[in-house]
Amino acid sequence: MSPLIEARELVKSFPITSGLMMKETSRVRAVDGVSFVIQEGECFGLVGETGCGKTTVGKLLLRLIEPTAGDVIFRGQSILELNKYEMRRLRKEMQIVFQDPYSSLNPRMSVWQIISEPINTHHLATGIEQERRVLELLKRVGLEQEHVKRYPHEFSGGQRQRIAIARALASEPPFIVLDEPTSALDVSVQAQILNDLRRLQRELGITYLFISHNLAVVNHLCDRTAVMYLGKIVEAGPTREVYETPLHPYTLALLVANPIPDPEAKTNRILLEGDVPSSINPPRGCRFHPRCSRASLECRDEEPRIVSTGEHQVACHNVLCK
Amino acid sequence: MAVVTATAVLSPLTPSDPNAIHLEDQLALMTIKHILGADFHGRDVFSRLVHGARVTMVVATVTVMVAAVIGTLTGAIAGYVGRKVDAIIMRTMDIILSFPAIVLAMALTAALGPSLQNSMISITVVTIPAIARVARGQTLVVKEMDYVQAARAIGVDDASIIFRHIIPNCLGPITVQATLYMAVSILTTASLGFLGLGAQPPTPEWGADLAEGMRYMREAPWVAAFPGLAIFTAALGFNLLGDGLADIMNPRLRE
Amino acid sequence: MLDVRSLKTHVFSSRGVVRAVDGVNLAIGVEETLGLVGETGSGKSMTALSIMRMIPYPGRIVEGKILLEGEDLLTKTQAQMTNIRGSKISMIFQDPMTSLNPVFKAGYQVSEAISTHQQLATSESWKRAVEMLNLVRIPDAPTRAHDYPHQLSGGMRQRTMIAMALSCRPKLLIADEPTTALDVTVQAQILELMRELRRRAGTSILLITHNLGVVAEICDRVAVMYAGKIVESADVKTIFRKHKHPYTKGLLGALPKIGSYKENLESILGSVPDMINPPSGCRFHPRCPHAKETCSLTEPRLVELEQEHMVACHFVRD
Repeated sequence: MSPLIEARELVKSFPITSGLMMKETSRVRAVDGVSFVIQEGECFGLVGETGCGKTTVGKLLLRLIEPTAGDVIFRGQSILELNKYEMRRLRKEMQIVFQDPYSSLNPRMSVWQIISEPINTHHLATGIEQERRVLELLKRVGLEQEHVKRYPHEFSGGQRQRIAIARALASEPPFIVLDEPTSALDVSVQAQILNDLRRLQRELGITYLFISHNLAVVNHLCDRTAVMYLGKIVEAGPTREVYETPLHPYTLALLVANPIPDPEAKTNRILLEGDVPSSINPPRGCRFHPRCSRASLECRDEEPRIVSTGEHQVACHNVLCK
Repeated sequence: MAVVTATAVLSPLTPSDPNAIHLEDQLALMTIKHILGADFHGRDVFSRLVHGARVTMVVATVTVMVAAVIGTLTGAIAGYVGRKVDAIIMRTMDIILSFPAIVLAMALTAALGPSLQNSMISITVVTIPAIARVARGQTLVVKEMDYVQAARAIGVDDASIIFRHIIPNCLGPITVQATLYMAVSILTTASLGFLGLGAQPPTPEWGADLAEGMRYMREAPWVAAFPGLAIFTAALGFNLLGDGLADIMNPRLRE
Repeated sequence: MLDVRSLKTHVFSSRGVVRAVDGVNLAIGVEETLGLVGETGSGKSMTALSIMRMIPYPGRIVEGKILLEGEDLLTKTQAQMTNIRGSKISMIFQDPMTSLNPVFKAGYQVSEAISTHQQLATSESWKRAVEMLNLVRIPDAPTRAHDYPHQLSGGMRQRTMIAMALSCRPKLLIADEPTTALDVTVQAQILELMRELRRRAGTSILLITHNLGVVAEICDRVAVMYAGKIVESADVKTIFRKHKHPYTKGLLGALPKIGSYKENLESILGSVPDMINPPSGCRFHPRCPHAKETCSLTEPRLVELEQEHMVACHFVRD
């Protein structure tokens, strides 16, 4: 497998202004030095809670937002060096499916228009060939031919997500970012969509970045997973390893906090104290230390560096023993 | 409002020429020959009213539509591109808006020379900022919607995004605003006409006719009354239409 | 303690009559937690609102009895209901941001809940409010009581809501998706809090959720709703281990579980039915893998299988 897309020390900070003159008082470091590599054909999961920056990472990879620092390498080339026109042409190689099926489709466009827009934008097919493509896309995502004439509001949440997926597939991109694609859907619909996503990946050989706060979903679908906290990756590795032998205390807390649908399972609760701090003034040293039960003096002063054992990486001073 | 529109549409079918002068009927009361009476020149008030309706409707529709097109475009561009472009456009709009509409219209028409066309131009100019403001506000909201982000992710160029995604989704509030401004347009046209800055005689126009009729208020009040009533009804009609549209558009009331 | 019998709540919309709740029977005992599980459109939220008699127009309760400690709530006047809400039955909602008034301090809102039902001096009810905020584990309660909702995190807002709801020691707490909008770690804290509080105060809870994990954690009994009707109800262990209704099975199978690496999740074909024209006979039959002819003709009744395990399915013996 070769690397398809790579994030290198990505940083994104937003200014906070106050006062009439909109003077910048501080910056929110939503993403603070994130690096990872996604191999071609794999499904890479990015998990974390609200405010950890995972959605921002997804948008940075697609350059929907400009990074404050760092780089994104796609197929060996930095995408940040591309000008506006080259970037637009590159966009057909990388697509995104959003979380909210109710705002990700233009209510004034018919299904046909929505799905054919990428095809037209990149001049990929016209006339009969275009028609064939659109109908084939519909079939792939499990929608009917007659749906082309209808408008988004006539569909359910699950169906809208399918339309969004069809749109993402339209330009035949090798890479798709899925930003919480099933979080807004019912459990049974979620299962259908997840099954379909897996099938599509097998059929078309697409690479996914799957962003979610739902650990179970990521566990089910992703080959490798990275855990984010307050703008940084705290642990990353093959999904099975990360879930079965977590090395970072936060990963363990996340896993354990997840309610298990089995009333007889024993819960070994590690309740984290407090709430997720804001990213405006993140704690010094290791960002997780105020809530960490294993925090030592080192954790307060120094940011942990990344340590690897094989494929499994973690950023912690007091790594959990295997 | 439906009545006014209907009247305007049907105006070519009036029995008598509004400009035909029947001096013998000077200031006549309502008779069968002149349903609503006649003015100083013996012209039939009713047919003048009807033809005036056509003038009014044409002016209102054309000015508002042109203003809507220009306003929507500028507002959307300002909202989408933002920063300097936004600042320049909106400051210009603010300058125009800071003058009372009628005063500005008067000044423009007087500068350009009194005529129906010129009064239409000035009314259009005066209406543009209001629509641009609404368009910009909506654009700012729509711009953040996921489907616009999706379009950018697809690689759609900015112009297409504005025309395909942003503008169609701004139309709601713009339509409401436009309808309300038709009422303003009617009033402004009438005011300009009243002051002699709009339609020139002998073109029938409610405001001008109102002005003329004022001279004979004591002897023949109906000559002024009917154009006045017409102006009032038309403006009210459009206002109500605008309100009704706004209510329909409000998604929360849809039940 | 709470006994809901044959509850029917219909919404008379311009498109037709939506039979949101169509013959629901529920019972919650003292100090018991019942989980009401279902997906969008199942009618679970409507059921909760019906019990509180807070159905928004154009909905209406058309049939049934809601017995709270023997008294039928449907016979009460609005004035009496206002008294009951907050003191005998309380409700907390999903999104704490919109259910707390942004212009009032947190402490004020809790004290308002207290003073509505108890005649207390302002200072006294404020003191009680701070006590409640402390009880729900808001750190530094006396200071935080002066905060406005936007200054509090999601978890703290939900705790404030719980404080408000429990301030008058209601017999029944209705919680409508109380942790759905919260992060997983915060959710764990809130669930722990709810467990502790119900132990202390002896409150019964009606927990409405679509999250089966939460149900397994905190509920004693579970009722599964589909298309306005209850299709299965039992104690929590039975529901997870020995469920009988195909929908329950589908719902549990659709859940991805950490540690199980199945290729595909079990999915339920089709989608939630139109509640204006629900399917004939058993409402689940168009999506049921075991559907036979009878299923489209007659509606199955809730039948008691073993102790307290009720299922509404024609082929339950299979």
